[in-house]
Amino acid sequence: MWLNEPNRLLLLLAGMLLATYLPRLAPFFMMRDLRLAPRLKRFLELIPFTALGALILPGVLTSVPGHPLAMAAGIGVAAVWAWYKGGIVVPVVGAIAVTYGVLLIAG
Amino acid sequence: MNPEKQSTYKIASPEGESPGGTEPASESASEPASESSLKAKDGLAAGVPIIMGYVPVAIAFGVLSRNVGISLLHTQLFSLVVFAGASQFMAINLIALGTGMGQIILTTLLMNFRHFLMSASLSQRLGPQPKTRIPLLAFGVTDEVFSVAMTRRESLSPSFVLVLEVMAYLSWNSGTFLGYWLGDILPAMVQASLGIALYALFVAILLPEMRRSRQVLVLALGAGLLHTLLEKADLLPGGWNLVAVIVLVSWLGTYWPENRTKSDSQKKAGESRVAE
Repeated sequence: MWLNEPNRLLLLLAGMLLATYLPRLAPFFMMRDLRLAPRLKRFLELIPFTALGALILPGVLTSVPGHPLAMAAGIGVAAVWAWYKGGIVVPVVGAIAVTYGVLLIAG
Repeated sequence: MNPEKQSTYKIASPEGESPGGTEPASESASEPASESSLKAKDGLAAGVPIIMGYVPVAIAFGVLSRNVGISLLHTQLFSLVVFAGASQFMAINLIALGTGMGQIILTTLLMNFRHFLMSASLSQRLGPQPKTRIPLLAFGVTDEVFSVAMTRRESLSPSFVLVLEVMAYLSWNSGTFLGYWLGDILPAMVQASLGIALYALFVAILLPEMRRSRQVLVLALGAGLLHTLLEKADLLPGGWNLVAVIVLVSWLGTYWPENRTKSDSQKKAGESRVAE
């Protein structure tokens, strides 16, 4: 029903634009002239880390649908490398390569 | 590779002196409060991992959208206009199920409310921006740009963030096009392994921070576990679990006793960012 109604899709896109853009936009204006209490400032500083933790879990567990082993191997390699060596490119490329490798062997 | 990133990851800087080392230290030597600031050209290097994380996932989006039967134009418009990975996947899946418009838009709003928190956090770090600059700067706030920028220890400039955003936007959109176009050629196994890319990016950003700071370790792990539990319990709709977890765990984190003494001493030393 969606596919033969291109105009309805455009309307949906407009709605999704607002739904994604307004939450990104509002704080920049709201916080512009605000002096925050130290605890609130600290709260905002911690958001990157809690957000990352919650973005990874549980999403990663189903990131390779039907192949938890390939997922575990891929993300495991990325995690070990990131923990000991740091950097981002090697873990990302390594994770894709290892996941693909395990899929080739096991799938 | 990315030597700047490496060095900032390796060396914690309790002295308040930035370890990045690309900028001459002469400026900050006399004035301890000023750190080296990340400029546009630093964004080019810092943005490479975002490209590596985005392109595979954007390809997967293009493939999915094509398989559902959406036109190339509309698929590309999704990435151009919405620019929010998870919401785009969700929308395509719901479109395939014939779900109504209101529900898709509402779910999008719920899923992306986390960006409200991220924009608040980022805008606080950047400081007040000219009103003309805000619309563009705010449009590009995504999980990945936010994570890459906010885990840097140097002070951020808007141009640094903007360069990250432009690179993210271009790679997300070219990946979408590529995926739609490649759709049939790409073997199923390659497609299946692309989903890991973003998570590998998140893990690569987070783990060095966890290693450096026990507070980050506990909070990030706690957030992940709590989110897993809430998703299992299936109490809240859409993205509210994620928002609730971020708010709750970050707020609990402000009561971390160890960090308060350290943050005081670090502030005295002129370090504006606190990790331990």
